[in-house]
Amino acid sequence: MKQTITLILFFILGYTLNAQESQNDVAAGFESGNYVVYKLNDKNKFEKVGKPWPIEITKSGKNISGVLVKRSGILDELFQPDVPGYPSHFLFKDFRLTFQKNYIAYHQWNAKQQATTKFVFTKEGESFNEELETVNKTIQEYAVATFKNQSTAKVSLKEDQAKQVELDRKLNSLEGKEVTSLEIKLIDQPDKISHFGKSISYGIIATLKNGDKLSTSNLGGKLPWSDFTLNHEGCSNLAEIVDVDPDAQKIPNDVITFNATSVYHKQLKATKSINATYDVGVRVSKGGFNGSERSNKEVTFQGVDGQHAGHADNVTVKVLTVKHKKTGEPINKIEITSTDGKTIRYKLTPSTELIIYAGGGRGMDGRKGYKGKTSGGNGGNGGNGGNVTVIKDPSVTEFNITINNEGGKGGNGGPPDMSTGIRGTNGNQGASGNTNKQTQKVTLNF
Amino acid sequence: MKKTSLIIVALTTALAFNTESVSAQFGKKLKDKMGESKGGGKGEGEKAGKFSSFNEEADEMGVTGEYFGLIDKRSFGFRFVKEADGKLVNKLDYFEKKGTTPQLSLSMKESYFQKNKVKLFHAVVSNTYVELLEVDPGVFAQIKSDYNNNGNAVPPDAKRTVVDVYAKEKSKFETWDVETSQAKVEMIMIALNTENLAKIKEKLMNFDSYKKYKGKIAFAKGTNYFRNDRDYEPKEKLEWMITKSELGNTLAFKPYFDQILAVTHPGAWFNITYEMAGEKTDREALRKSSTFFSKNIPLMEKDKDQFYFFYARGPIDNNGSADYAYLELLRKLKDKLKEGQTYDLKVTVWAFKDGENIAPVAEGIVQQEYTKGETGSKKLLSDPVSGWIPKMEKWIDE
Repeated sequence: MKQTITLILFFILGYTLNAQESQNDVAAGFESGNYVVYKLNDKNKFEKVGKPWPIEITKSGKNISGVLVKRSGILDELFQPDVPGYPSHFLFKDFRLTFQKNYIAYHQWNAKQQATTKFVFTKEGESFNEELETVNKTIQEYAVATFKNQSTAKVSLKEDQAKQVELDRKLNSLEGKEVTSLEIKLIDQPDKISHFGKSISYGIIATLKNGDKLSTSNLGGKLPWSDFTLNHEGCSNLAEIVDVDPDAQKIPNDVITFNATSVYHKQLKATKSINATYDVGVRVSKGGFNGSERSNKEVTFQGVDGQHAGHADNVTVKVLTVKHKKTGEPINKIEITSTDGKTIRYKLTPSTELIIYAGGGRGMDGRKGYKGKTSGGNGGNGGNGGNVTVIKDPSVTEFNITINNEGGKGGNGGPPDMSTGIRGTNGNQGASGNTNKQTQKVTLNF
Repeated sequence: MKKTSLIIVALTTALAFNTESVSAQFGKKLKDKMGESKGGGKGEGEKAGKFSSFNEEADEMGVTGEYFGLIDKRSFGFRFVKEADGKLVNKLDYFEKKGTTPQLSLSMKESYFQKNKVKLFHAVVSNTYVELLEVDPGVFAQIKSDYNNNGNAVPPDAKRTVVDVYAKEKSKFETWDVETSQAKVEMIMIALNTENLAKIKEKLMNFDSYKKYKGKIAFAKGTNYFRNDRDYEPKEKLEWMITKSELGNTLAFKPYFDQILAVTHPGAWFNITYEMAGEKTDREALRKSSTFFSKNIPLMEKDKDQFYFFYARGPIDNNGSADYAYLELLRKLKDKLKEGQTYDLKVTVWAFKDGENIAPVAEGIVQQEYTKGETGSKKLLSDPVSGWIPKMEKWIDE
């Protein structure tokens, strides 16, 4: 009895170890030469092909560096190890080759970690009579077990790659180099530097003591961005591409400034400033939500009747004309507060359009009646438009504002079920909001 | 005069009927050959040599001759026709029956021959695309494809299936079986596709978004800002791209690849990682961590043949949906994020295979501002009913 258990354990252990062997070990018993080919036929059975195919196995020490399958003896397919030190398979396009104890499986692999074997190769003189399902399962079990075992080899591979990346970085970095100056260069500078305008691209050029210049990738070089600490003002604080800040409070001097400091030479700084032009139109949306969106806002119990739409927020717009701090041109400072509790601040040239949308949402359509309730559902009411108050400081001579605060349309009544019910009634249109324009002294603290 | 007209009408009608019946008959045969019925059996055993006279003809393409089918074992006549009625036609006439009228005329894809010496002829019969591609001198693969290219040759990356092989010499079938011909067809198409991809890329470089963001990720306030009405026409405007957004509010992104994934990392699919404030989430890692994530984070197998995601992704989408990997990042950061602060969100799209992120294929950073006030990011993230973090916690608990 004890002997039997030992024997079983021995076999289990043997199988487990075998399942975790790398392809370098499994394929040790295979040599280059002609291989008998079994092709999967229409009936999902392996069928012997008349002509053997040559297979060339190239080794580098104990490792297999490539397996060349000469398909039908004429087409070259070079399979290479997935992880050189500990391969689980060899790869050519999206085909894989996996050596098993007594055959080589030529298969495809899907994202669900399943194999689909197309061919099986055996050594000359050996026959093959396994079922497709068995082969696919064997490959899958072997591969999944081997993937887990590849961790050390993968770590080592990643370390090698990381070393190479670090070498490249150092080669192109300012670290340890004598640098005389830094320069920020704008790329594709847009004509309009404004809230919600086009992004601004920039790069950095460093001049070394020997006169050589190193530049960031977007200027054709390899100077790493990680060489710099960035501290931009009036725009996002990112490498390569930035946007003018949508909040005018964050552009106090009406300029966008790029600041870059070398990580390795703290005294080396580059600065570039451009004037904000504030000439891109802005649309502020404070409209009510549609009835069909109510379920996103709150817990709703949906019957056949359509949901009522949301009302728009009430909006107050204060405007004051000041001078651009760099160009002296007139600029409108605008502060918009709304009943949703948000305050937003922009600066726009007097002729640049500001659109305030405070329309009510559209009511949801009623649903079709059904057997237990044959009448169609009533359409939901449209939301009310918001009241918009515009307060202009006496300094304002021109202010291009468009206001839309109409009430939202009611939803349509739902159709009846057959002829036994009646169509639901349409929802009411929401009331339009009032627009109130006044002139009085305005103080804006930004 | 009346009599002459009558005869003309009668003759025309007879001719029209005859042409129609021929094409209808051919359509049936073609369908048989394309595998819609058990084809090949009818002609099996038919004596070869029916079109041996074709072998005496010469053409500059070296195509004309008598061919034998591998599956459909009859003999066939192929004739390359360069000119007809004083016009250059460059077509291949295909005969199943003796006579002067071919059962099918296939057009040559001239650019393939001029640039790559690839002999490819194509036609559409009864809504079925048929192609003959020379895989070896005197050997043609008959191909079908489900791709519809409005009567033109289907592009190199379309799925092609070899359904039969024709050879001037039967001995060629020892080498050129269907499988081998299929492999050769794919090799030819990979070479042609490489050129095709170069052309596509050249075209894409005319679009501002691709030109500027190649290898990077662009962000916008919603997926609707990314426009793809047609293939390879990313019409989104640069001014719609953003580099800063309100944390917890709608955000969308689109990666633009330097090369398609199927070429750079065959057999791989996409993974996405989100990194912010020292935390990182990984779609594939999460997918394997629990049934909840497995159910809500699907594999990203589409777009492997595209230079960008055809449909932009929304970490938080316009329609109230979101990427669970991004929501998990927010959940992990719930005690760390502070009002008034701005955080860099790094999004990386990876080539993923066998449980590993092999290489990044596009990267981008967008700044996420934790906006102030009761209705700012705090509400969007932490509102007990609509906030993303309570929602996520509730879903996980369920």
